[in-house]
Amino acid sequence: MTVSTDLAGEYEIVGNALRAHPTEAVIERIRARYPTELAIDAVHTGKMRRRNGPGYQGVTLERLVDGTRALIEANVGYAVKIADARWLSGGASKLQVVFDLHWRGPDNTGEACDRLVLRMEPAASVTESSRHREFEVLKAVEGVVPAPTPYWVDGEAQFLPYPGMVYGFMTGSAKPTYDSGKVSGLGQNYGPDLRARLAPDFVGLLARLHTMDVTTLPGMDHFERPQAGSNASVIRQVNAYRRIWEEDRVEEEPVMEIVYRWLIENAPPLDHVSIVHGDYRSGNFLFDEPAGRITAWLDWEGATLGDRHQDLTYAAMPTFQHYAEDGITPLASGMMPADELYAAYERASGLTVDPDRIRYYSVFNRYLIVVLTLAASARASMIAGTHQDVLVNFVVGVGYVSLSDLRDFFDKAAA
Amino acid sequence: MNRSFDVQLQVALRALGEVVAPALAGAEKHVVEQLHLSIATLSFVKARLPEARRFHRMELQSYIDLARDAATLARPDLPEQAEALLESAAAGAAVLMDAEADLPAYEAAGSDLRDRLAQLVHACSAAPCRKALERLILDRSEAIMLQSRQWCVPLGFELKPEDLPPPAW
Repeated sequence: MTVSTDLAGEYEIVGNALRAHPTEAVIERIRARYPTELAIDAVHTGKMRRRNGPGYQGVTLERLVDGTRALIEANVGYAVKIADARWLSGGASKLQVVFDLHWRGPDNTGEACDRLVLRMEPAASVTESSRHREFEVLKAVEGVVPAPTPYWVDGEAQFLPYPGMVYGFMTGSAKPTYDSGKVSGLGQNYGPDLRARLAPDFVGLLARLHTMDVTTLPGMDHFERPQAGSNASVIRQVNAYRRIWEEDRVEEEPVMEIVYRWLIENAPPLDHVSIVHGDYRSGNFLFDEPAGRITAWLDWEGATLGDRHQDLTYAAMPTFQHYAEDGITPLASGMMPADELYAAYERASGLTVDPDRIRYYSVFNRYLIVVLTLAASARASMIAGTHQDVLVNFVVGVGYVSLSDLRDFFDKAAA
Repeated sequence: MNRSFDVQLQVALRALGEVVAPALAGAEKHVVEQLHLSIATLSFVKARLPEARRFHRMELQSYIDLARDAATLARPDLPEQAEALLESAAAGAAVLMDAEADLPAYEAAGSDLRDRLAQLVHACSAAPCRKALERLILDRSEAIMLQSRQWCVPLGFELKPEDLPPPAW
């Protein structure tokens, strides 16, 4: 077993002017202080360097259609036709366009028309992530977990204004068609009937994802391969979020440094390596309401190879809970109480749920949410870096609720 | 002219809510969403603008108090860092005493204190004062965070805003 508790380096006060326009020296020192996976490092280094370039430029639908066509034609080797392109709403972090592709189909044999989605980053994002990684993980879970079929990726923005990918359009609903009644809580409320029918898929698909054999998975070139028995990958992940805090925050919160140090010093070694979705919660899947089945899991951009407890605790974050009809029972991701979720998951996966790791990742995910709201969202909107700054900026307002929750939870967890 | 910012915001909000919003019925979902978020953002500014000076002064005072107590705790183990923190606290206090100081001055002084407090947390990792310093910061941060949440109440994210302590500004 390899357990490391090394902190990455000295604390350095970086002024806001340097965060807004970082020098290469500042970028390099931050990289050195918070070492993380190569692909993640590349994403954040690129983000910092873009701050010295032009800000986000509005992109027309025509420009995206042209870029998408060029991307596809470069891959298939013949001319294709894109029709009925339109913006797809939803989501705070990516630009999405749905369109019909007239082409020869995946087997290059005849005439086909498929409905696809272009998913592209803006100049700055709530969640800076690698399109290569998202593409690779979608390939990996094909046939195991329902998810959009990945077709082509433009990871270096060779054809599109910013990195993007094309994947299949998935049918299904994100919200129930009926009024599921007034309950308190921020999370999506599916109502008692639909909740009972969706819950087995919610648990079962997570179990299937986590029990995939990742040792033999091909094509995960942009992921570093963690080793069971080591906590090095956990520390790399913590450092990735600490790095976002360093690069993006608009004001320091001393509690965050206390929590960061605890996360490093208490990082548990992996007992099993899983594909971790990273954003497994209510609102991130589509479903067939009459059938009561989940038809697609979305938003795989935060996926990693790591500890299953990360997904389990994320699904139970207060932000994604609401109370049951009794007004007192919190339902994790609107499905079931957290303890029932963990027990059902153990039965479905055959993997154990470790209370110590639940505690650790409950802190980890709270830290992550604070970083994404008070740092990434605040910075992205401050620098006018997105296509919907007003939405991204508004989200920052929930950051103090999250920070307060982190402080309270950490105070008990670390006691 | 109407010198009141409140009136300026009031007329803009009325136009957006009563004229522009109805005219956008049937527009793309994300367009309507951005309009409503713009209205909500301007409404937040309208609600909080008159209180901004008092809020920032209160918050800065909280960090000055925390910094002084943290420096006292850390001084035996980390005299240089404690001294730097005390200097930052003195600079913050001078800003509070300065009748000409504006909001950016309060924010800059508070920002410096927060940076130096976090720096001290990092520096004390192997020092005997670590536990006491962390305890102090966790305890004092609770009230500061609750006031930050109170400040953001008009944004609508609080499930039970009535449970928060009243504004201390």
